[in-house]
Amino acid sequence: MTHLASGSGSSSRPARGSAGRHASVRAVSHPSLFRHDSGVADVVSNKWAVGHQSASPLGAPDQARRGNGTAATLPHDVCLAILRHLGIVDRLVASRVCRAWRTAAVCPSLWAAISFTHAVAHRVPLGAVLRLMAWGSASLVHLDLRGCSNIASIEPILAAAAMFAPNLGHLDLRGLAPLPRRPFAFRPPTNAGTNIMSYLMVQHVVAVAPGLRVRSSWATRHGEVVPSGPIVDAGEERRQVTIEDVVLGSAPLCPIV
Amino acid sequence: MVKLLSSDNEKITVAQDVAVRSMLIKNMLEDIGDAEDAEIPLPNVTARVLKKVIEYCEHHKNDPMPPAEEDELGDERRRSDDIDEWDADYIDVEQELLFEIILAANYMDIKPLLDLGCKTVANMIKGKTTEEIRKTFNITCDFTAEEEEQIRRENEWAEDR
Repeated sequence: MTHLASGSGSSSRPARGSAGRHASVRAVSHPSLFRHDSGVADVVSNKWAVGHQSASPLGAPDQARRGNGTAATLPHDVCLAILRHLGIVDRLVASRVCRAWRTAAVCPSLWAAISFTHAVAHRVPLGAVLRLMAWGSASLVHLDLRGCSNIASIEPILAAAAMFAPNLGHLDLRGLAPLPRRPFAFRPPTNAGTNIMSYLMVQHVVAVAPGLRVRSSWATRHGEVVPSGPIVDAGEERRQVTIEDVVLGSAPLCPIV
Repeated sequence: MVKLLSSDNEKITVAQDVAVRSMLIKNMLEDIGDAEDAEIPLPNVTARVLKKVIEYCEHHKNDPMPPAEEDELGDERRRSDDIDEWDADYIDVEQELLFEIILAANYMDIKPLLDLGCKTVANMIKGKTTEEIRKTFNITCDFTAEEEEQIRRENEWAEDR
């Protein structure tokens, strides 16, 4: 496992900082969602997500050697290929098995499309969605949150899309809470040292992800589903808005600086 | 005919159309041109596994070649229940050999075989708990207690089976 467990391959990771300005979010390719000192700090930070250097068969001599056919010594690519055949729940369960599988499980390419089966959708917490979005980062193109009735507000989803999912082309939010009609904003957290990006406006979502298509019920007053359209067509709802009630659960949103 | 040399120095001769199911061998053959007597060494594959791999290539030698570049994008959560009968029978082996086939397919770059192996492993994972998976594959948990607890909490919602 040696080459998979180290922190190499993460040199491109932007340094953490406290500025949290939206101007910098464009450059992000593989953000860290979690702070180091929070409960879930290390999940996508260096020591877990060691980049996606592929372990070539030749580069892993001890793994291809005779008599070494065990799941515990599979090269990174093979772990990935296996996980690719699993649904989200099985993938996450498998990611708990050991470091190598965890490392594979957080690879962006596994999270190009995210949707939840009927059986689990209703209990998916917002924190999990944000985490998966961060894992997918630039690979994420399809996010289907239908049935995720546990998610009480969509602003963090939009903010996360703006921050680190520049290629998200399809976002289905049907059944989620509508945008509040009052102004809302990300309020910087009050506890010291928490790096939540502040004051992200929906305009910035538009600005950062101009191609973002939203099939949403929040675009209409009565919650009907409207045809896909650019978010800028949401009419009056896109006035300057600020979020006050961000529910991030165990996954605080971090700035990418 | 193509001569292959296994890691345990066994020479195995196979027909060209069988051998080129392996992209590794195909590329090597292209590199060396028409060197009739060239021997292709496969230092990562034992004769036992190589023979098993060749059995697969023989059976599938007339299949259309898979696309060279696989699209990493898109969901493509490939169905793992669409294994055909011959393949299912072929891959029904003890676990050690299964993983050796997977490693060989990965090394020799035989995508459909790698896929078959990975599907088979995925099917062994489905529906199991983390602990059951560890037992099934004899994997030792190498997380610290703290890390493990953290991931457990993170995934709580998913594990309420």
